[in-house]
Amino acid sequence: MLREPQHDICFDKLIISMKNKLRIGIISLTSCEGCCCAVLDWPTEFLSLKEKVDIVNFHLFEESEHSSDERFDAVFIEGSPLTKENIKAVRQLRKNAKIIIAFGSCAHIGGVYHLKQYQDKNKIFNSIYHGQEGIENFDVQSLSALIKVNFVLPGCPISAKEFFQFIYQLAIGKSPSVFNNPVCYECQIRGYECLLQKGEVCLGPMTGGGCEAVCLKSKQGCWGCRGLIDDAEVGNLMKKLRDKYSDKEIVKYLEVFGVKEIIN
Amino acid sequence: MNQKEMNNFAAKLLANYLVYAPIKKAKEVIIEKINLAGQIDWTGAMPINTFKRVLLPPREVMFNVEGQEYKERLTSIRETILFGVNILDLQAITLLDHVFEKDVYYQKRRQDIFTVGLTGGIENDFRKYRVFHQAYEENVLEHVMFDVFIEKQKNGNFILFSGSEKGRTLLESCNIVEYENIEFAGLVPEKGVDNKIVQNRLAVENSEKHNLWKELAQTCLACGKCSIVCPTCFCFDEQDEATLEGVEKARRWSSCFYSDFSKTAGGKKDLDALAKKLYFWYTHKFVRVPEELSYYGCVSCMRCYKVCPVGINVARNLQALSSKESRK
Ligand code: SF4
Ligand code: SF4
Ligand code: SF4
Ligand code: SF4
Ligand code: SF4
Repeated sequence: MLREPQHDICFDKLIISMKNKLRIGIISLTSCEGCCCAVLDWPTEFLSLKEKVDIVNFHLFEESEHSSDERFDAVFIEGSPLTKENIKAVRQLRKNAKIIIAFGSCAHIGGVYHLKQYQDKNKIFNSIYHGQEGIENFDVQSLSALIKVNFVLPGCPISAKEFFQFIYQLAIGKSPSVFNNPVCYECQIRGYECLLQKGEVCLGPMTGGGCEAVCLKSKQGCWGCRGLIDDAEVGNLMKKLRDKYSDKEIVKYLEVFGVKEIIN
Repeated sequence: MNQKEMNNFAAKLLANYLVYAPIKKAKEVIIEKINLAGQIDWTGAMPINTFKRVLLPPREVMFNVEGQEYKERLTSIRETILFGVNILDLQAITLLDHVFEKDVYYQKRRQDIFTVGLTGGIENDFRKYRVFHQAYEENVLEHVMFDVFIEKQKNGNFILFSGSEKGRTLLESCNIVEYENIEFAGLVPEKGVDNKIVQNRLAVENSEKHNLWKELAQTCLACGKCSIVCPTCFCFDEQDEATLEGVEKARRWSSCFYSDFSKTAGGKKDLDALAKKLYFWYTHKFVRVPEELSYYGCVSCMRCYKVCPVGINVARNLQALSSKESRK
């Protein structure tokens, strides 16, 4: 089951601890590590973070061993909790961190891996691993199915801009803001050609913006990697798509990032 | 003035100012920053976008707060010409000028922006654009604000009008002395508020229970493209962006279709259903703006219809609201 976590941050607790630098972890579960890499797309901003925060755990950047009782103010978790080890780590992190941020589409809504859930998972497994032993065939789930998530930084990958914005806001003790305008907002402002009007599939009207409509910039329809906006008019968009596409065709787009389940 | 002289005028402007003008691109006319007078589209076709972003940028930083310190971010822009503005877009700019009359950020920028209108005959334009927000009157130019106005005549020549001191200075700085003055006579014509405003207002006012809103709510995607493209939509959100040093206060365009638009601190939303949002959009344009300014909240450019993925048509909807049979 996928659930869209509510944004919920207990600030009092955090601000009390603000006398010291914020302790932050960026942790990868099963994933392509694209979200972690996206952080490093902004190297200058990343390096200047050290004035405000201590990044105490970020394996893309350092290789030290970390003890399981390491404490954090905030932990960004990228990827899907798939293996037993992942699940154990996530539960421990919840205990050790004041706030947990689902970092990117995998942690948020299951990500691309979630495609497996819509097929016969054993069949898929066999066709990929040819019956090899010692490989577990886990169910794909989002972070919030396992632990309480306080905030989401969505996207496949996340937006570095939003990541730094989030940390800056924490550092000055301000509630992080959520961008609740659809992808169409950024798409129309930039004057990109509207693919939906052209008869292609685009989930932009129901999907949360913040990605600067990057897919539409390359004339690629939005497949909803950032999840739903509040009050998304899902039904009307489906009606519009049904003018040209069969349910079977539409569902293919909805499955890519697990949008299919969050709209039901 | 012939086309050659006109191109010279435009070239002179280009040498000294940033110039935005309609140009032809692929099959569409689009407003962009231009480099050459030859790029300008003189056909008067309705551009797919507007000049709004020059007057009111999609995102604008207002001030910073760093520690206890407040830093105003009122910045000057390079002197800019909006060239080839059609009559409907001039009316939209006139509306923005009134709405933001006391807004320091808008006014600061506005000082350095000149509007140069263009028509091939306004009466003809009214027919071409299928204007539904006002009836054509000969003195229409007296009730719209502009600096310079260019009329292209049937023989291909141009005549010029100035509408402000700024416009006269601009023309004279380009060594143009042959022009006619038009004094701005206020928003409201001498014979009173345009009848079309009154009619449209009556049609929308008290239509809350009309079936139309429920019908439209069966198709609208709440994507807000219509507000973004609309030359008269002026709503914005305020946005705090944190920096390592403090907070940057910005404002950015918004739309009454978006979830946060009417959200209050407790989380309650006034516009909690799509039908309400649709009704709110029309009420704002056809009831509240006319009530406050006796002016048009909508200039019938039809851009909202052109960008709407589900083809919601403001002209047709107004008709539906005014027709007797459909009234409940
Ligand atoms: S292309 Fe997609 S995101 Fe862009 S405006 Fe059209 S529907 Fe919205
Ligand atoms: S356009 Fe859609 S699919 Fe592409 S990054 Fe943005 S939200 Fe994701
Ligand atoms: S553009 Fe059309 S679908 Fe989108 S919000 Fe406006 S009326 Fe609704
Ligand atoms: S026709 Fe549509 S886009 Fe044009 S002014 Fe009216 S509401 Fe705005
Ligand atoms: S209330 Fe809606 S229709 Fe009116 S200006 Fe704002 S966004 Fe446009």
